[in-house]
Amino acid sequence: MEYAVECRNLTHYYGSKKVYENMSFTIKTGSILGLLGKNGTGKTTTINILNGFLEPKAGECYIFGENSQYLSSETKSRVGFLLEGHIQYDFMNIYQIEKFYSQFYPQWKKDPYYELMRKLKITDKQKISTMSCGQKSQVALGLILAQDPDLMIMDDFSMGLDPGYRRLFVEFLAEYGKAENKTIFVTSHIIQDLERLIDDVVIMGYEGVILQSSMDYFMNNFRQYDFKLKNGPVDLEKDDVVTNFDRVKNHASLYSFKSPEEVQAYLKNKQIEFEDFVEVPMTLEDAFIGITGKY
Amino acid sequence: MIKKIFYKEWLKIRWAYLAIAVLFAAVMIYIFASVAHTYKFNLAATYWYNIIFRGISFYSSLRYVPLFSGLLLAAVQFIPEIQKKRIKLTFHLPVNEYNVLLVMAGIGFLSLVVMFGVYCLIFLLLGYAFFPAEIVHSAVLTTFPWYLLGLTAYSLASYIILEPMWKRRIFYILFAVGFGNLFLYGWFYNIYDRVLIGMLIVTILLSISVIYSGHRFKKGVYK
Repeated sequence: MEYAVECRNLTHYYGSKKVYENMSFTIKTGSILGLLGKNGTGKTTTINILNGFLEPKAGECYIFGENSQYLSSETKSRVGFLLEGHIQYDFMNIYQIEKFYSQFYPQWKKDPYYELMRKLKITDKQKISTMSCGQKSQVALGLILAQDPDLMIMDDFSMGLDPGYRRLFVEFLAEYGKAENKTIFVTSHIIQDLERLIDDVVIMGYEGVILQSSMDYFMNNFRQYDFKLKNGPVDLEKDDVVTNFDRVKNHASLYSFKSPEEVQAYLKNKQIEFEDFVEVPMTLEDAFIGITGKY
Repeated sequence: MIKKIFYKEWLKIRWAYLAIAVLFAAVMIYIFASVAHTYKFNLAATYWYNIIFRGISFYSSLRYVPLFSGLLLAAVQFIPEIQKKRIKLTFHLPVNEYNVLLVMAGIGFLSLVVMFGVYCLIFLLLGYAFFPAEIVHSAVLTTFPWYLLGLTAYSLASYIILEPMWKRRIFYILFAVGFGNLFLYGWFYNIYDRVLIGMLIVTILLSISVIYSGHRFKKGVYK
């Protein structure tokens, strides 16, 4: 199957407030896709629809070819789900939660789970409610690893984690995903975490998907050009060349998928005089802000 | 599936269940210690006369215990599920979501039935030690709606806790309080005899109500 996940023409509203309309995206089997978007663009809404916890007003998502609203038990057992904030059954201890989940998954592998717990020096009898957020994240990760799903859906996995645990989580996930050929779908509000992890990216704006592409294509082709406006402030509208434009007094930043030559020709064509034209290297976070805007 | 879900539910309810058992035991001890005490200072015939003709109840302390039990069990079982929307984990298990809800509600409901049944039996046996069978049977029939109220309270509380919208919750709470009062209308002997079957049917029907609020939660009706 080429795509583990396919979402087609999703439209959702909360009351009269539109979240998005006609949003579509796909996740290739065996790839790691990051869903990026500002607060309120509908990342968690999308994850809820994907897990069947929310019925969209229109459109549908398919997981391994099954409509996400009516997933069979077999398909659900192939999907690991990390809830935002690493929520688990807090009233259970390490042993109890492993025992509980293991009953539901025939291919359950408890060794990776207990291995992770040993590394963290967590005892079997420790209750999850007494753990730090970082420890809880590792319990949730350990359980997903034990489930050994084909698709992992991770909603804002970096929430509440300190840099050490975030790094641990990302490295573990990247290594595991590649080694085991897993499909992983992640969202995170800390975009720099995803830079080392994801193969493909979907960027959401307030009107739906702004971009879906491979990370390589996005990072190699999306560019920031800084220049000074010689004849005072000018504002540029978005079009085929200008993906985004930002200006502070005479200092302009133009974001585009076009080459430096094409952008300079475009500016000349618009009779905009400029100087000190430079291409600025970007991190994923810079590129994200560049494509979505600061506001 | 029942065994698998039972494990989780039991971890949630075990201490509350034990507390309910202790509470029932304490109330039973109190009731029959009071009866024994009354016997010590009154003639049995006078006591029976007061019970039969003046409607004096020797078991009124039991009245709210099943209600409290039902509410407590629903709270310990379902509040952890809605905190931080943890029920998504339950819905994500590789089993049918509605079957899971039914099993969860069934476990709580039957746990209460067992508890109420055991203490009803204890009440019956201890009653025989002090009163003629007619008085004891009549007392059991009179307390029966209280047990049904306990079960109804469990079902309605579970339903309300799982309901995703506060506005609806408040409406349901008002309805539940009014409805619950029907079960506590009075404690005069055999006052409910003619409607007991109806009450029993309503109680059983309400036991599956949790499906509806669970369905609303699953469909994402929480904004």
